[in-house]
Amino acid sequence: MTIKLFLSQTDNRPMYLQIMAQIKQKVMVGDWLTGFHLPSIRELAASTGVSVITVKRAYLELEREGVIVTQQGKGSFIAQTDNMQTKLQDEELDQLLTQVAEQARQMGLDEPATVQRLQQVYQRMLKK
Amino acid sequence: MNDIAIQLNDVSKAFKYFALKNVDLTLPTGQIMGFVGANGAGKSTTIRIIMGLMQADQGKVNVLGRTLPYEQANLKQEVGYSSEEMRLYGAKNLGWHMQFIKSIYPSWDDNYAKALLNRFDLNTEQKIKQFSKGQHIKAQLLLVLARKPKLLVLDEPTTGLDPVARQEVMNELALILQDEQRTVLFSSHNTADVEKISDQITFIDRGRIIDSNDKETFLENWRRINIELPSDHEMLPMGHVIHVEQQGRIASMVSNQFTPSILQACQQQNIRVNSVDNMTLEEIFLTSVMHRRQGEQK
Amino acid sequence: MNINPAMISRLFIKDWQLIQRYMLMYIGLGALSIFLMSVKNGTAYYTGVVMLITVLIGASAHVVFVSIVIERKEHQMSFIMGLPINVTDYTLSKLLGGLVAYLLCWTPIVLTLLLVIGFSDMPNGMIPMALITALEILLATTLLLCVAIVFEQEAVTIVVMVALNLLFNLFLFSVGQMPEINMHITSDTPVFNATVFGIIGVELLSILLLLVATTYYKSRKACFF
Repeated sequence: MTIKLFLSQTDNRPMYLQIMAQIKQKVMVGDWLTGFHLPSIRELAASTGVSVITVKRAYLELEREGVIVTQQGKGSFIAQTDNMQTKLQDEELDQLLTQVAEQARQMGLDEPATVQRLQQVYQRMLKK
Repeated sequence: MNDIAIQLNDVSKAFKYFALKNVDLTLPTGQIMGFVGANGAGKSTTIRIIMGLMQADQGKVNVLGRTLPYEQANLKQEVGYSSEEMRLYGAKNLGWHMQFIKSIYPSWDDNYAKALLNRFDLNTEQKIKQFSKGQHIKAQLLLVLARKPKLLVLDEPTTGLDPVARQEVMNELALILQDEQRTVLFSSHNTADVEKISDQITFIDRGRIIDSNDKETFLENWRRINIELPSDHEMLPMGHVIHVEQQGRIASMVSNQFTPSILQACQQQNIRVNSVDNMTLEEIFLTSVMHRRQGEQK
Repeated sequence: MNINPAMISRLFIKDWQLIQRYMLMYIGLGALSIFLMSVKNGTAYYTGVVMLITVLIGASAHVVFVSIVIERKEHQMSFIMGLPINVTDYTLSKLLGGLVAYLLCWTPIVLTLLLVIGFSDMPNGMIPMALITALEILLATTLLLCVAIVFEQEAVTIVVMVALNLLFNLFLFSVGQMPEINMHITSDTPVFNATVFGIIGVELLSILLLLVATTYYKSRKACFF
């Protein structure tokens, strides 16, 4: 099976981050489960048209984050972590919240004010 | 097996109105190098020297372990070369050309050739002079690809191709990556083609290599930093920053060796950092060229 | 000096395939001219002679221009340069290949001419002059091939071609003036005297010298550009 990744030239993120995000997404939605054998770096590079060095970097970062494990000579697999899906979802939420906090701080909001703002947004959303 | 596919050391070549100066270039086996430069920057001259078609005034040229230009006939047995100016014989069809190339290279792969005919949507019976420009370029690439050379040297393979044909060609180049013994050098003035597929990137301008590195290092080192200054006085020069544009209190600077220390320096000078952005290869290329040319004028 | 005979012959076959049809056409036209020469009619004879010379010179220009000048001009040569050959291989393929291709057209025409002279009412004394003339055209072809290869320029090749055509007329005139040649031209048997052998010898030797000199000159070049 050839692996399809949906990569975009207009996405501001570097290509290796896009590849990481797509692989994480496949894990989050449950397409790739623990132990899933990932395509080799060269296979993925060939099928996506992205350079080997970029795919290699994405795999290295994923390995560092514990999403995949690479065994010499055998290839890369989705790591065996309890609740990998939840863990990745948590990470994604944290990232978004960090951006929110950053923006709030730049606007001069302190911590309680930021929390209050978030509560307001949350309640408005529930009403809809 | 050689780990280095292409190695140029201090190669120079002078012409009446142009000179290639002290070119150093290394391309490891199994990688794709994008060779980027404006028209007339020296890409084709460098490639001709690599192929042994032109003799350098000085310097060493070694490709697949062979010394050029002396071993060019043997080298060309293993290298697939195509260039922008190359033309096939208009009075003959593609099938005739395929037979001709097949008779020369034992490595010719009929099945791969058929697959390429299909994917490139080319007809073997049609005379070359009836081909469109894009079909002509694809036909040439087919002749080169179907013999599966260890090294591909392609001078502007995508120039003149429509977006569909360009995609077809780039996909074929990507497929070559599956074999870690095969190496590709291709020149282009289209940075978008180069950015996605290349492992190594080399910039050339006015006959000099201005930068050469692996792509991830390239993209990682360059950042555009958007800032707000404490006053509208001209900003003081900063280390690792090669280019600054300022209007009033808003400024944008470009670093080619980005480190967090730049952000610390901003903090110390009371400069507010609004964003630190990645740059596209095109922006990096243009900034490099401008910076280099300004440096030459001083 | 490294040469690759297999590649040289492949390049020759490729060049021959590109001009084959035209060469066959020239052979046909050559046969027609010889037929005209054999018709017992002054006008037909002179038409035949002029046509025969035109065909032989036309074929020579065709070989040189299609396989060398146009190939360079239309950048098919860039394609050829990428093949596993060096400058010497290329030179030999063009020089020997061009000459062989031309001979494939020249030989049947000249043989037919000699046979027709021999077996028709035309005086057999014409045979030495016919041979000398045909060899002059072969020599001019060789020179044109060498010029096209050495100078690599269309304009120079055209100028030399024009000059060679002028020289050809001058050559015919001066050889025709030689008593050792013209006194036997209407005789019933061909006379191969020292002058005839001398001229033929010089012609053949010049062809050989041109080939050797051009190959030597080009083989010292390491690169195509």
